[in-house]
Amino acid sequence: MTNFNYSKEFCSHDATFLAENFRSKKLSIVEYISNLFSYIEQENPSLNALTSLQKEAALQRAKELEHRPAQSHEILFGVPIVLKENIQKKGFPVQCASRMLEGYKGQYDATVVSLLENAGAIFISTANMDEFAMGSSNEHSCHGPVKNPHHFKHSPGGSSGGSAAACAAGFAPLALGSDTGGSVREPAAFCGIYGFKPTYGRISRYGLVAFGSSLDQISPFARSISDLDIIMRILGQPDVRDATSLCTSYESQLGKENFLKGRTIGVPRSLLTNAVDKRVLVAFEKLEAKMRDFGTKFVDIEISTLKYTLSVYYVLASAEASSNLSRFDGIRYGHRTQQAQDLFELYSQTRTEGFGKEVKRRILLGTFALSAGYYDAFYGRALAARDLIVEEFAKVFETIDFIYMPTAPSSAFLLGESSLDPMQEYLNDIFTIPANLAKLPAISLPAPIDDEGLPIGLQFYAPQGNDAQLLALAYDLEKQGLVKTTAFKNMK
Amino acid sequence: MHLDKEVIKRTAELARLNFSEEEIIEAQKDLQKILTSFEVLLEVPISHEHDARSAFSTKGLENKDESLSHMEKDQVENSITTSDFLAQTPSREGAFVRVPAILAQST
Repeated sequence: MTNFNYSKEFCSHDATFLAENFRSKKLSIVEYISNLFSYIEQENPSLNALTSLQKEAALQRAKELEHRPAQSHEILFGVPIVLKENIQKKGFPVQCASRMLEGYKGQYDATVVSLLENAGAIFISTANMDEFAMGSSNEHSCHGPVKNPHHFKHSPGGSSGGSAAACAAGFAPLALGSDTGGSVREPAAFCGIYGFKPTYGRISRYGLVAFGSSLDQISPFARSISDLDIIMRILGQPDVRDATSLCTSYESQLGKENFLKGRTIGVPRSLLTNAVDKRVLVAFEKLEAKMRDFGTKFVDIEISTLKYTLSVYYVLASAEASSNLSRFDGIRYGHRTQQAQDLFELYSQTRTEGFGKEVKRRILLGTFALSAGYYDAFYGRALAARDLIVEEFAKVFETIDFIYMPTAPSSAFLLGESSLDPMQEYLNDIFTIPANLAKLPAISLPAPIDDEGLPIGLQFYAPQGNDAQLLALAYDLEKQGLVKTTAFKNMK
Repeated sequence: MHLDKEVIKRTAELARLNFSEEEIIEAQKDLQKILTSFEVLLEVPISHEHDARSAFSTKGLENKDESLSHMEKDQVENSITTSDFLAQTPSREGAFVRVPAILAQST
């Protein structure tokens, strides 16, 4: 068997490499996974990225796979994957970083879990997150905050902060998160890796604990585009168990055409104000200049409905969350208060004890928006505004192929910095939210970093359904070295 | 628009959440800040096509392009057994879930 200096090499192994070597039996899955767990056990305590290591189950599965040949459809044979703890897998904790679901174990497999295991993947652990996916800093978690692997005093982003940190630190080449308003793209930007939110409906939501049902998408993290392509080929399938699932499948376009020459990319230039960090703007403009050299055309675009984005999102997401979280009532599963005299008290005391501050704030906002007397002013108008946003994006895409923006207005902020003002934390999502509202595929790509500073994410949107074209563009950018995973230096 | 404490208390009751007096004041400040920033929504033109009351339709979920998505008819499949489903119930008796009495003794 090959002799690896494992602790130095994990970050350099992507899923494409591992699957090839595991399938051909050049590498031992059991040996690799054992060494991986040793590395994780050593490094995770300082990051707090992973919440429930499933060593026994993973090694058991590794043994099973080791002793038989890989079948042709098992394109992720033996590959370790991390699962955000709001996705159902039988026997795994699905705690959603909340006291409400302390001790709760998955009762069925999410579609994404079945598909990935069918492809030979091994789920090694659950990942930390913001409670019920509400947050952009991974500081709202009952497990405590996650640290950014590049600078421990900084946030990894959220809500899928644990999955992002785990992937960036080499705990697994692939990690699943969920993106409702940027919860995969923003952490990908902060952690210097790739994060891809597919078209709404592209990946089945069956088994994802619902937050904002019309906005949620399970979304993958990776350190290479070829890995994102593999996982999309597996997960981008219609699913009868998700009524909002698309009718068509993902079909890879990687390497089929030159995506840098002759494309037209729109930039909403007026959004790039002094609210955007200078260093982010420099990286943004650098990539634009390099792409022009390769034959890409850039045009300035105006999207007037973007001024409604934050309000529309927060009204709709909170309203949907208040509905979705009403199932947590202490009756059938999860936490139940010991201090109730009647049913009303059982509900309210259970929920007061079980939910954290940010979740309660959003439920309150959502309930308010949906209540009689305010419904038309807030929820009704937000729906109307959403329709306008969708229409405007469709119109803009008539003359351009992609839209280009930073992923976030800054790089990773300090832990503790953003939790003082609710509006401040919400402003982090200003470049990511429109994609969820308009149901568009969007990807965060890590800018090449050469100044020892924090990672920076640059983002592209594509029209609804054009997931494959978006990944093909990203592939060409990666091939030319115009975007690059930020090296993990394992600093203490 | 101004949010008074009574509105917050009533909303909390609807949401089945208990807040202390201090928490109500804090929630009032937070929500006030958030709602002020939402005033831009009052500018949104609502044409007859965008009737707010049509919120109950699934317009928000379906893609306008029919080839992109569809709604399926529900089919009943017993995909999870009762014992599996109730296995994590906080308080149960066989196939029943135990809860505080719903009807008062005197009824």
